Parts: sequence; C-alpha cells; structure tokens
Amino acid sequence: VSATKPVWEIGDELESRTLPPVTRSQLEKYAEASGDHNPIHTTDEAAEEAGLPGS
Amino acid sequence: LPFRRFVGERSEAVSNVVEKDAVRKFAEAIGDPNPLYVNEEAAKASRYGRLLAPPTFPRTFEYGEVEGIGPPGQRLIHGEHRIRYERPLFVGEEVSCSVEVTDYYEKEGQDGALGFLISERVGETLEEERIFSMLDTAIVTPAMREGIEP
Repeated sequence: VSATKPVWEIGDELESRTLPPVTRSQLEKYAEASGDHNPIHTTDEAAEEAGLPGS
Repeated sequence: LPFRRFVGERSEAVSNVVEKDAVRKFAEAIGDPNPLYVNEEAAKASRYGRLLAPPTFPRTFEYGEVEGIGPPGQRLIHGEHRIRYERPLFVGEEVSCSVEVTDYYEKEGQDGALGFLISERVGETLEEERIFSMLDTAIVTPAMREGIEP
C-alpha cells in the first residue's frame, strides 16, 4: 500500500454480516471477563424485576 | 429529580493495572482475534512495540464510587458508551481511574419516567497524563429508582 493510495476511501462500506443469535454462554463469558456481574444480563428473574423483558 | 444532586460529584481515583491475563480473557469474550492483544511477538513487531488492550477494555476498571449513588452495576442499564483515546492503552501499565456525574435528566416512558445518568470516566497515568475518557449513559428505570431515592 503506497502513501498516496489509502486502503479505504470516504464513503466505503464494509459488507454486512449476519451473526448467529446471542447465546447465554456468550453473555456469561463477557460478564466474567468485564467484571460486570449485573444479574440483569444473565438471569431472567433479575431482568424482569428491573422492568426488562428477559435477560 | 433526586439524582440531580449527584451532578458535579467525582469519585476518589482508583488505581488499576492492565493485567495480561485479563486482556486475554476479555479479547476472547468479545471474540476479537487481533494478535496485538495477546501475541507478544506480533506486538513487538508492531508500531506500538508492546501488547495493547482492546478499546472497550476500560469497562473492566474500577473508577471508585460517587458518594451516595451506590454500586451502579446492580441498578443501572448501560445506554451508551463513547470512548476517546489520547493514545493506546498498553498491557502492564497502571491507570488511575475516576468517574464524575455530569448530567441527569428524565424522559417519559411507557411505564413511567426513565432516568438518564450521564458520567464521564477518565483514565490517567500516575503522572496525570490522560489516556482515555469515556462518556457513559446509564438508564435508570422506575423499578430501579425505588431502591436508590431517599
């Protein structure tokens, strides 16, 4: 790549990707790694108590 | 709006270390395979010369608590995070972190007023050089507010 020709031009877009549904195990892994143990992310009861529809 | 009384309050700064293991775990959890987070050799050969932390890694830090607001993680929902870096965050460095409540307002929602608590979190070196600042919106539902309002 030369200095005069950038890899990206203004207005370029990445192709869209469809990812599989978010899983509970992903949420648990992130909660563990981020230290955010807010139960609204991992248990349905806590989410409902907080006025949220599901975890 | 009882939460307004927190606006302008800042926590005592807390020291955090960017641990190599924590970065590896975090990169794995977010599914980011960038070798600059985990591979020493790749990091050394890069323009940075050392391992980096992923951009959203500062979420894992302790920022101290604004007095009276309680442990935020238990009661608040994340609404927005915006992180501005002055330079990359490196594995192994010590970061002094604090949080200030900068605004609070409410909007009428379906089940009562929703609160929006705006905070600014900052990370600095021990020499007070700014590394990042993070604008952070937390949403406070009426059910959550019950536990916190006097």
